[in-house]
Amino acid sequence: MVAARQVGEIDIACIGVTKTFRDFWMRPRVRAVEGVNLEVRRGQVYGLLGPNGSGKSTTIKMLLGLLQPTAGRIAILGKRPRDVATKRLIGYLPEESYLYRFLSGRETLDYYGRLFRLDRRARRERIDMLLEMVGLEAVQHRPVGEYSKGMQRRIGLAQSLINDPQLLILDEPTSGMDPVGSRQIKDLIATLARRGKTVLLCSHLLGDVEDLCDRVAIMYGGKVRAEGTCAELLTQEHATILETPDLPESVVAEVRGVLERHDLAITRVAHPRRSLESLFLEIVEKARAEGVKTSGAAAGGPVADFLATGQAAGGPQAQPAETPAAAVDTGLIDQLTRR
Amino acid sequence: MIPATTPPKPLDAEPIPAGRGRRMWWPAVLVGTAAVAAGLWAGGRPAAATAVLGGWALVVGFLLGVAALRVLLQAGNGVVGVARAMVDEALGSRLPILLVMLVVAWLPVLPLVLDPAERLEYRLQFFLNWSLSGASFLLALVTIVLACGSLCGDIDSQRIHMALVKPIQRWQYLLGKWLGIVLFDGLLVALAGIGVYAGAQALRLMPEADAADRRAVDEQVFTARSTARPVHPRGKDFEADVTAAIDRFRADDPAAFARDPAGARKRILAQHVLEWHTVPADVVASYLFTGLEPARHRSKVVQLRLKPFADNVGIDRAEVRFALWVNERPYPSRNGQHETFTLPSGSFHTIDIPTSLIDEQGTLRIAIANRNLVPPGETKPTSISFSPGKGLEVLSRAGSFEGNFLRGLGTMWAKLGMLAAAALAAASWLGFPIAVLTSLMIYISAVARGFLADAIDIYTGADRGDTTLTSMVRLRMGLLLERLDKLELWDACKTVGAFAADAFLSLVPSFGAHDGVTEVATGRLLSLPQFLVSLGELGLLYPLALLALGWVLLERRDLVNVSGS
Repeated sequence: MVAARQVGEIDIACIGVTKTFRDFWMRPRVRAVEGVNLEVRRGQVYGLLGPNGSGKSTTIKMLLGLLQPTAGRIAILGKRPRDVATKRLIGYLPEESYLYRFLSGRETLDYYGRLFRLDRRARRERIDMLLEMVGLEAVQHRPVGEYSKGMQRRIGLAQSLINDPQLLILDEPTSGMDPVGSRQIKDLIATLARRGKTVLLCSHLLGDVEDLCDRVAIMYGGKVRAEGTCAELLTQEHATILETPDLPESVVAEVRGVLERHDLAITRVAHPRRSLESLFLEIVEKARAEGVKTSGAAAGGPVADFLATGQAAGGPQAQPAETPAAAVDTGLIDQLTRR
Repeated sequence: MIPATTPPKPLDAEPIPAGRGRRMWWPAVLVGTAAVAAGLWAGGRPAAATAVLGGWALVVGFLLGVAALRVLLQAGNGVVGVARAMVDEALGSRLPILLVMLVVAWLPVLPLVLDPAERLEYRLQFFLNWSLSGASFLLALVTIVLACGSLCGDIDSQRIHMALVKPIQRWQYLLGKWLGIVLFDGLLVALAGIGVYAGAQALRLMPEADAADRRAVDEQVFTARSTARPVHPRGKDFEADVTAAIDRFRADDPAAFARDPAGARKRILAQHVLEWHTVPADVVASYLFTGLEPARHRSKVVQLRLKPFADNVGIDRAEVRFALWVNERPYPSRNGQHETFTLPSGSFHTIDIPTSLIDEQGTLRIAIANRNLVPPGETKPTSISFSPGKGLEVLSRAGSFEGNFLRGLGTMWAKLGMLAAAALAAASWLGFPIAVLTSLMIYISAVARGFLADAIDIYTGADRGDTTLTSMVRLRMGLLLERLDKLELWDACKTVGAFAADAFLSLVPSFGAHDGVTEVATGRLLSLPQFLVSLGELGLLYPLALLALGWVLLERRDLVNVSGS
């Protein structure tokens, strides 16, 4: 049984996968993916990076069985992509929200719950939890066609989690989300990763990938150009950074002298910068504390029980990071996992 | 990597209003319509009030039916889930709902446009025929638009991706779509049936032209009559005559017979049957109708339905005169006088015959004597002929109108099931406009298969007549070779086109062979075996084959359009 597979096993394997689109006369038209090799292990958050037209979405659609590869082999959780038993364990959030506009948010989740053969009671319970999680409880009976793009992304995310998937494939998950929602989705991905879920994240937002992913593949022109952990790909071994409290000019001169004795020189002296995202979130939080009103989807609630009580957390690298003193009072993760 | 920053506390933003949810417009519409009906009634216009109330009842029935469908499709199953979404989509689609509203508007209004001076029997037949045919046509359009719109829409908008990445096979997805459409169609057919039945019953209460009119309404419309076709009184002699004629033809022209033996036999038999159905001057022709024993207990009369032609005389002014004997007794006989029938030529007539005249074996022997007048300049009267088949038959009560009506609706539903599968198969490979056109072509071909086959014959100049399939193929091949030999290339192309058209028509079922509507409107029995065959063929076999085709096409189709260049 797939669920019994061990942590560290290969959940996604692509060997020499090529996809050539053909025209009406079956002549080759576009080679979208060429000789792609990928290996994603259980519990990893794997990033698929690349500019538009690099072959990311085509690769994902082959992994999901929506496209047949022209050459090469694909195994998802050890089976063919179109295997129904495998699909039970996959959650997918597409790049755009492809939803029935006439169904309400609740009906949308109910529809996808039926496709997973969930019984009525299980559907109702999970839908309640997911609607609370994505903050759409208040608008659950409105047709999805009336939702904003961000709200549609939220309901899309909820549908991708309705089956408590072992493997989550997310195509541009933060697309169309405001920074707050975007942050929440990233936190959710981190939470799921700690629960031992495997996440394939497809994005061209480099910050998202760097924040979340254990390993990254960078695609261009249908080929994987680089692959490895973020540390492997990003660490510059030829330089060293020492972070200290603010140094007066005299101390900097002394340090420079020490380095000169070893035939070395300081290449750059600067003050560290915080990220724009953390500044934005601090401003919003401050405004909230002052009681400023806004509108939109409600904040996301805790992770749904059936997701939060899944598999145990992974290794030491999966522990929550230490909270900086300047950040907000309580981490979303702590609140989400309070249940 | 897990983020190094701490995520923010959830923001307690002011929740937006819950919104309107579903627009609950229909209770207001229902109450308003009921008020309008009450106003019309109070204003002394009961007919209009009844029509409005009829439409109102259909809308209420529709809403109740939708609620019942939703309850029916509650199971946590992939196929059922897709079917449920399909029903919801049907309810949310504008064009299908517009067509449904046309059905709802069509039915209550139709009785109002009928000429009250017309005989009630004809008005009822007109109403049943047009209301059922109109509903059938509109529902066929609804089915095609729904099926093509839904599947093409899912593929174009990539909604299908969201379903097919779930644990559901492509054939299950197609089956779910079909099930949803068929159930929705079932609801619409049921509602149309209720509307037509109620309309027919209301029309039945209107005043009749005379006693015969009322009798015809009861005995020929609100009934289900089985048909008895004549057999030759001296069957063995007749068969021997036919065999001898075939042998003579074979001896006289062995080459012609060898070219198409089956066709020759069929032609000679048809010629003899036509001769038997022709009554020359001063000749009494006999026709035996058997199997009428149950009719003796079921009703007081059976109907002799005939369409006589006065040969060799201009049809528009011709009349036929003949005398009848029923089981050797002159009929009708008044005051000891054997009366003669004088009827217009070339139209259908019905003659009531008391069931008491049927003998104990259930046999009715009808003898017809030609009493035509001698035309000016002639020495003998013209002969009388009847078209073999529907030109001479005895109809006897064999079931209830209600049972027949239900079987007719079932046949209509089965046709829609076949059409839904055809439309889904087309949409699994083609874009929306082409899929709709293809489905319409299939529908039109199924409705008018016989007419199209004749049209192909006329176009190519090859009349297949009553020939068999093999002889038709031989005929076409011979014609093709002959035209190629004479270098008549355009005509040769037409023959090749006819082959293709024939091949297409042979794949399409004939809706005419599974009519239902004509049977109900003319009070003819649509027997249970006949109904089950229609249901099995149109509602099961064809849909299965078409869905299998759609599945193969969908399975092979890349559901993503290339965006690069």
